[in-house]
Amino acid sequence: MNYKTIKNISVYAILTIFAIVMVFPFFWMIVNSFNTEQNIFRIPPSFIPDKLFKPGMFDNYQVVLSQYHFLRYTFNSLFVSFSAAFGQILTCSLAGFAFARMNFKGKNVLFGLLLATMMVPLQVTIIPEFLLMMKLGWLDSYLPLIVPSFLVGSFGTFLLREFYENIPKDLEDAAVIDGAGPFKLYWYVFLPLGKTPIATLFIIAFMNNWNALLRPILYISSDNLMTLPMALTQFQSQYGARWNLLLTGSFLAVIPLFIIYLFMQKYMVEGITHTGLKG
Amino acid sequence: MPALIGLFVFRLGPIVFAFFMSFTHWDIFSPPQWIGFSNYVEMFSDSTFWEMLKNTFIFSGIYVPAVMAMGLFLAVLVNRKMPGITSFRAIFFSPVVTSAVAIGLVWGWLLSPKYGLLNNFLQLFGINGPSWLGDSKWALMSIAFVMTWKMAGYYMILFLAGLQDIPRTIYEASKIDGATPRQAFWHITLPLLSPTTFFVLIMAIIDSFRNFQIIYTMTRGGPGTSSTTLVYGIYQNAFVFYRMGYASAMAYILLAIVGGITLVNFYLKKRWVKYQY
Repeated sequence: MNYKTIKNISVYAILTIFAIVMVFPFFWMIVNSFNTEQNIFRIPPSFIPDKLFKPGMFDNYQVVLSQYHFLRYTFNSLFVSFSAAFGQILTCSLAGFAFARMNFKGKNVLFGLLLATMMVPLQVTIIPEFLLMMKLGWLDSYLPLIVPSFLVGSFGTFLLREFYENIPKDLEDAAVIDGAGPFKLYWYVFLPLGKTPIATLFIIAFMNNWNALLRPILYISSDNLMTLPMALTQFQSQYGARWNLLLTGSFLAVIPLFIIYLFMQKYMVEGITHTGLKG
Repeated sequence: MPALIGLFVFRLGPIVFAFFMSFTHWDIFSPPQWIGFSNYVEMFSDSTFWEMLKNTFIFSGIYVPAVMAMGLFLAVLVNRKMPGITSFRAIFFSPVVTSAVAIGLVWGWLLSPKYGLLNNFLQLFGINGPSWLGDSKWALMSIAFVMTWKMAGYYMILFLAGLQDIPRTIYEASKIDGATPRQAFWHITLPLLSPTTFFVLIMAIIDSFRNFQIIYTMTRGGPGTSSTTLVYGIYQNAFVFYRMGYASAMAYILLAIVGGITLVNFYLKKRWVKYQY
């Protein structure tokens, strides 16, 4: 063996060790979702779940989905995340277009302020936001989870402004000569051209809302409106010792995003690298 | 599009509003009372507040260097052309996209004192592992570890983008001059990577203040207040104790810290970041 092969093998070995470290908790989630309550508390822990490939293999899933309403929570999470992501692409693309192509007073100041708010942790603004939602009578509904996303997000605006600024001016001029006003220009030229960044923004907004916890625990109190992460924390405080069910629920909360990630990896990674910011 | 300007009101409004609230006493149920600087005075004389502040900085002090080192290490590791390397990148990134609640739960189980896999593993070597989340000495550290595990892939991607911007010719030139790979790393990669490192540093610090979800799922700030950071303390004061004014004052301290660090970083940047290739 020459030096290069040895080097390659050792690189693969290190890569594999880290890959195991990264994947193991997910693997452990799956293993334990096929365990009975007795088997999960075995010492030393067993790596082979006692219900795997046996009758009643999906018992935990059945219990979690129907008896503990996780089907409903999954629907809530899907609904909230889709609506919020839709809101983000709508307002961010409009705002991005305005910042890239329109001239209005105070544009640079406003954009600077928008970028500055990117750094502000949600906890700083959540208290006034909570009081506003209370005044509006929106507590315990989907609205406070969705509506904030319909108000311009700084990440998305930044992403789309960057993209729109690189669209050749000629294209815009041609459309204006053909008699397109700003809105038509946006709708027929800029929006269709920006499919890639919009897909990126959609996925990132979806992910952020799917994983969000603070807003749901503050705004939602009825059981049938809870999102998955919130439901998990509630389940944890009520049935803390039922780890097999808890890990089954966690797996349910993880798997949809994994599937999206698998197919849309390029958009997700690109979007996150592009501006280095989430939310 | 003047309508857009209205939207900013919703983003900036709360920040201004919180500022005024921080001078009031308010439990939501009765109208707010103006109490001037009392919240701030109380806060600075409250030992719990100082403990939260200490926890916040300890957490950042562990998390930021750890996650940056891990991110850079993984980035260097995957910055090569080998079959299957993209799958490894994808695997390292996968915890980033998953729910912090689910991750907090499964790690809570892995770290559980009696039935957890980690302590059972340590037992094989005769080590009695502590109660990672139930012991005030370890709780904050365990959370920092889990958060590093979750976010390393994110910083890997940021570093990777920076690494790929370094021209290959520089490495080739250094090889001809007889530089070892280690020398190349310290004298070429690190200096040329410094703009990325600077950016990553700011991101990691700000990220370290946003560790709400994992704390909420794993320890709820406990035991005692040993893993309560500023962000968690704001939540607790506002929505568990209903002390809106006091929590707003804390939120403003957090804002001041975040703003201050950003400013300091921008100032330091001029000193140590090399821009030219």
